[in-house]
Amino acid sequence: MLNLIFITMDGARVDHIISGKNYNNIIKKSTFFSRVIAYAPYTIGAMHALFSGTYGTKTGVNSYWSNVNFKKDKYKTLAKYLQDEGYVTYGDVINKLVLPPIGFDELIIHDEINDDLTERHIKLLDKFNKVSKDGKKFFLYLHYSNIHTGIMQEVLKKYDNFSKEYFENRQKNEQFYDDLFEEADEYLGTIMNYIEKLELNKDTLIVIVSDHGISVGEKFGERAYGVFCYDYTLTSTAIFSHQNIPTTHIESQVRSIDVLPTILEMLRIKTDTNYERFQGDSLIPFIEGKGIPKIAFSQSGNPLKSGKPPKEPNVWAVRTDEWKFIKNTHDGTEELYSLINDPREENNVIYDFPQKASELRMELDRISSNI
Amino acid sequence: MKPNILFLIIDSLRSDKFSQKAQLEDSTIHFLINNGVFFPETIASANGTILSWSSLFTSKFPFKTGIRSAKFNKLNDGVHTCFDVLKNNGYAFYGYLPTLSEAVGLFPKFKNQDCYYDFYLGITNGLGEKIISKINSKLDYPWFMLAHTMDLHQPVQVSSQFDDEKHGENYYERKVSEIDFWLKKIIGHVNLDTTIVIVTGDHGDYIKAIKTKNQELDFNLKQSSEVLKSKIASLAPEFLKPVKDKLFFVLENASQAKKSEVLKNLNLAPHEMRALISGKADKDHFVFDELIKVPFLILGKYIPKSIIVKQQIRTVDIFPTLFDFLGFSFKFEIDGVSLKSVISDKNSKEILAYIESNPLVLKESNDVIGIRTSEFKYFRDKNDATKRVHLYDLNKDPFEDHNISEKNSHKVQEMEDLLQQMLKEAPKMGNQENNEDSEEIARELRKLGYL
Repeated sequence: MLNLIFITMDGARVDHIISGKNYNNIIKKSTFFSRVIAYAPYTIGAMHALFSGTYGTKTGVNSYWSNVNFKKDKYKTLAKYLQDEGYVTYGDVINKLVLPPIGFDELIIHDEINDDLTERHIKLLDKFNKVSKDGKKFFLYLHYSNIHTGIMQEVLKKYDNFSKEYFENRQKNEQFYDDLFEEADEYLGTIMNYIEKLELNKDTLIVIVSDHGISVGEKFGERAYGVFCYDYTLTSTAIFSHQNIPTTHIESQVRSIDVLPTILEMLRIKTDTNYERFQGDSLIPFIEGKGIPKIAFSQSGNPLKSGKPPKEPNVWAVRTDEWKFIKNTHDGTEELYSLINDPREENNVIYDFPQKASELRMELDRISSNI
Repeated sequence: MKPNILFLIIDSLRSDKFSQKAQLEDSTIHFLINNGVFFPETIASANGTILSWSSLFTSKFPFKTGIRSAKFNKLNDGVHTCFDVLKNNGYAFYGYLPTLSEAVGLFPKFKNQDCYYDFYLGITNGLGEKIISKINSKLDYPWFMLAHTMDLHQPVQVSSQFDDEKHGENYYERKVSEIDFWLKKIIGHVNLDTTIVIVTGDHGDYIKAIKTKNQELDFNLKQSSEVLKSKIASLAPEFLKPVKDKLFFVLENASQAKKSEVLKNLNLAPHEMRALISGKADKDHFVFDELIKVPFLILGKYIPKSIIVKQQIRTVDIFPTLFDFLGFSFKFEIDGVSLKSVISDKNSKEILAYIESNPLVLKESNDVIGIRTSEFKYFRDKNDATKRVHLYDLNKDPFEDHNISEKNSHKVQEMEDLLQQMLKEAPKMGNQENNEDSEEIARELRKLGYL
């Protein structure tokens, strides 16, 4: 059985990932899903869904505030699966809210401002190399948080969602994000090189995900993420890397809730029938060229002018490869976008395609009512 | 035809001062009482806005709503509000509320975009004009307009036109006069043949001014300096927040000490002393009448005229009464009762009032719960029935100067039993776990830059 190193690149945008120097070196040797639709465009909601293979509507984690509501007795998490299989499980995270702690032998919070994450994570690789050499299997979770840190310091704390100064300086925002991403790409390159140097890659499945994207000023009203349900924040990515996994790039839409079932299938761990079934499905059929895209469901919490995220989601969305339907429950409005013709989601065509809107509205109701 | 409804909540409005103004025959309040039903003995469920709202707008006691304070707790799932009843009867909602109201999950979607305002707005400094303009605009029929006005919330600022002895002895009475002036303006734009108007308060307040034979003392904060202080505080960097909060409490304590020094030789009655000495950061909370007794006035279509009901009633009864006049029914359980029968029957049964104090947001406070009858007031520590026990004989001691709990253990027990009777339906008193979770999450979200 393989070890698992799982790296979350918090806030890494797909348009940067596909052009990142080190990212590309990894993608060339991996299975790369470039359109993984996050359940939530913010880390807490996104990672709880990813770790449980289930939308927050079911697990209880559907807002920034609700990690304490995670139904750990009903939904078995990635860490718990691996712990039950005898893995030594360890996580290094940005904050105690972002992951369900169940299943981790140790879940350590790093100081996102002062810690050198590259140095810190290299030490952890050394530590778990020894664990591996002692004949134990391990699960190491590494959270790269410095994109978030930069955004927090230079965007979240300086502007609000309606600061004209921010939205009128798109070029500056893009340049700032480019710089943050370049550092992230460097981090990833260093970590992957070190894994190879230690030869951990031989008996370790490496999974690298981005949890959500980040705005650079695309839409007035969202200076970073966690407000709307547009693609620039909802589109995340997943890389699966091991010598036995084919090298392929899958552009078709998949869902972040599919990542857990995929990992379990790759590690040949059976699903535990004592828990609720995942809502996600293994992505192995996609790797084999037989995948059938499914509708992705997402939720976000628009703080409007309150200055803090709401306790319940108030933006709901369903997405296919071709269409996106959004329902803003805070004001009762609806949006429909033709993603092929309008990938930036600039032209709401809700009144031009009433039948498509109706079809997707029903899908949204169907998924969201399955609580 | 269903009447439109104008529901005006005047923050910190005391019943005694409202009634005092009503004594003047040329006052608007006098005119309004002559045209409706007035309940001067109305007991709010709490001494703070959030808990009081929670009870008023659900017609339930606050401990059944899920809302516990301003700490991010909001209405529990499955708890219905009076707005649900109005919505089911086709009402369109318009509102003017302070921004904090968005957090509690209590209010409906208002049709006007400008429904939330900064904390210091009142009918005397802009809100009155907004209400008038909205009433005169084309509103969807039937409409329910909810306006919560902050004129009397500390710090109170009296405009120069009313800052004169002829308008009242102290800043509070003068401000009531100014409100009275604006009520006249607003009512002038309301058709009472097609509209029901309600005026009430969410809770009372201490009046921090006193006139003795030799001395006048006024500890009312100056609004201009308070607003400036708030603005400076909100501009402080996030990492300074704990320091900022601490500094607030240090300054408050220093101010209290200074006040005590001034007052110690004045031979004041306990109720005078506690009013003057009170501060925003007080750890020990109480539910004396000046903090929880508010007026309730209802007039307009379907409402009888010139009736003053002196029996004790509660703010939790306001919506059941309104809906009884309108012929609407609740489809969910409530604690409030319709007062329609009380209006016609002067000998109707005593209505017990549940009361509790609103916790501090930034630090732990010593809160109390209790009950009030028309004769006695009983309250004690929220978590321990043996601590901070207070009992007052309201007939003999209307200002609650003499705590008689020690010598009246039987009465204390009797009142505690009545309280327990009310609390037995409480899901979990205090909902502490939920509070702690919310506070911790807020702290973590702050670290992440989301708050």
